[in-house]
Amino acid sequence: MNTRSFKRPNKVIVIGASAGGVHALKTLVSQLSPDFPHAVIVVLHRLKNVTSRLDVLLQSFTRIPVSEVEDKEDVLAGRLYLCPANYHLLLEPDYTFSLSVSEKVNFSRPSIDVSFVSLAEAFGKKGIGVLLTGANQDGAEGLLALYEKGGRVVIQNPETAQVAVMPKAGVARVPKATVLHLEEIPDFISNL
Amino acid sequence: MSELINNNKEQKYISPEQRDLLIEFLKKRLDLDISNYSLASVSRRFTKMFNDFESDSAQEFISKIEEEGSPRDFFLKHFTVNVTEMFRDPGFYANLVNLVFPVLAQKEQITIWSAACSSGEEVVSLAILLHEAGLLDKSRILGTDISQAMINYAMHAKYKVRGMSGYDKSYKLSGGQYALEEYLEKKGDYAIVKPFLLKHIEYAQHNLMHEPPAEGFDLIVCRNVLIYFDKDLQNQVLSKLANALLPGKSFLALGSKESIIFYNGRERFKEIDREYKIFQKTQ
Ligand SMILES: C[S@@+](CC[C@H](N)C(=O)[O-])C[C@H]1O[C@@H](n2cnc3c(N)ncnc32)[C@H](O)[C@@H]1O
Repeated sequence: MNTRSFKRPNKVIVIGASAGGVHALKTLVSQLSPDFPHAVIVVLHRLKNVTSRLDVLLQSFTRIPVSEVEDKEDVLAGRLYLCPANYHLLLEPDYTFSLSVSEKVNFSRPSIDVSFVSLAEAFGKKGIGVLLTGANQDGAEGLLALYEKGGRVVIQNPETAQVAVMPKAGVARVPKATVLHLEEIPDFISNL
Repeated sequence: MSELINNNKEQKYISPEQRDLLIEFLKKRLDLDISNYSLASVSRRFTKMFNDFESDSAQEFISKIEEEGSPRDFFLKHFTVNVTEMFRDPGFYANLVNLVFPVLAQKEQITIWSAACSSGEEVVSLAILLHEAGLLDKSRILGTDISQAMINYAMHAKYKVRGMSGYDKSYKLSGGQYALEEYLEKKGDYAIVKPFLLKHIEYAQHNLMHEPPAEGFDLIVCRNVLIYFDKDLQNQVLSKLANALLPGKSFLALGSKESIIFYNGRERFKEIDREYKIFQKTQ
């Protein structure tokens, strides 16, 4: 029996990933406990027109309810949300999502930067940004914005990331970020 | 003033105070009320505009747009998100053809409203598919958008060939039976929509917050604009759209991630396509 909560999350966690991301996400979500008091939002670069159901895939690794975001949906505790392909994902201060089809940023839609910046503006200190493996520089700028608003910045150790470019860019932009091995990240965010 | 903007090396982000000043100005001086637009989106657009126009404050930005011949059009041109494509979401068009066109086919006349049509690619896509279903001759499509610049663009019916790569594939995936060249004439860098389609198309400037431009539509396509509105404004706009539809046997199509759940009168609709958000009006 899954008793779904309709509570506001303590923290709002945005996880950004690109190349190698699906594999990293499986590891990460499988270690989150079902009574997780935060909201986790995944922004993953995907190939255009790929229709594989990431929500179904990730759901098979976790008991936390996984769903793809619909516009103006509530941001709730103990949920895992996926950014839909071809939309930018923004966060509203009233704990709802907004989607946008505006121009690509860093050649990407969704762009991780866009979500991190909006996390920073909407939630500041309550915001956590996590940057995982990837082959481009998306996310680094947004992590800096989040850091400057008092949010926590967590980056996967580039040495253990499948593709190091993205986490490296993150560390270069926010040298004071918390750098962790992938396996350490679930514990870290659970204990926030 | 400039201390209100976070001035780091590359990006300046607009502060909530500056944002609110600008929203106030738009309402009072340009008769444009965006106070019920999604806040996060508004902040992003303002930030982009401030950076593009190298303004450090709302005041400076306002002075810049006031120098324009038509400040309102100028503002909207840069503020609105006009990204669109022909046959965007081919699965949507395929389902529209399969689920909605057979019902429309039974009617003597078909009137369609593409609300928030941007530069018109959606309107042209609809016209092409209506033609292939043998329905175009009894159809009229009205395309509207709040941005006059976009309406002008749409009226020219001229699209850059360079931006069109991929449209052919989407057209085929939508169920298109021929080739896009049947409908678009290539002239240099442009593809021009052929007159036999344009005969059935009309464009006009229209704000979704105002009363609908006409009534008695058989189909309203309103995609990827509600995402820029808050729940309240979505409710208001959906109620206007519902009223503009014919009673019975009429349809509303929204963007794939949009919904009618924030519309107080949602029981007036029956969902006929969950994935692509196609609804039939029942009351
Ligand atoms: C992303 S485009 C959608 C184009 C097309 N329907 C599609 O799905 O590809 C959004 C459009 O909504 C228009 N828009 C924004 N606010 C509006 C309003 N209040 N009334 C009418 N149109 C509006 C913008 O000018 C823009 O062209």
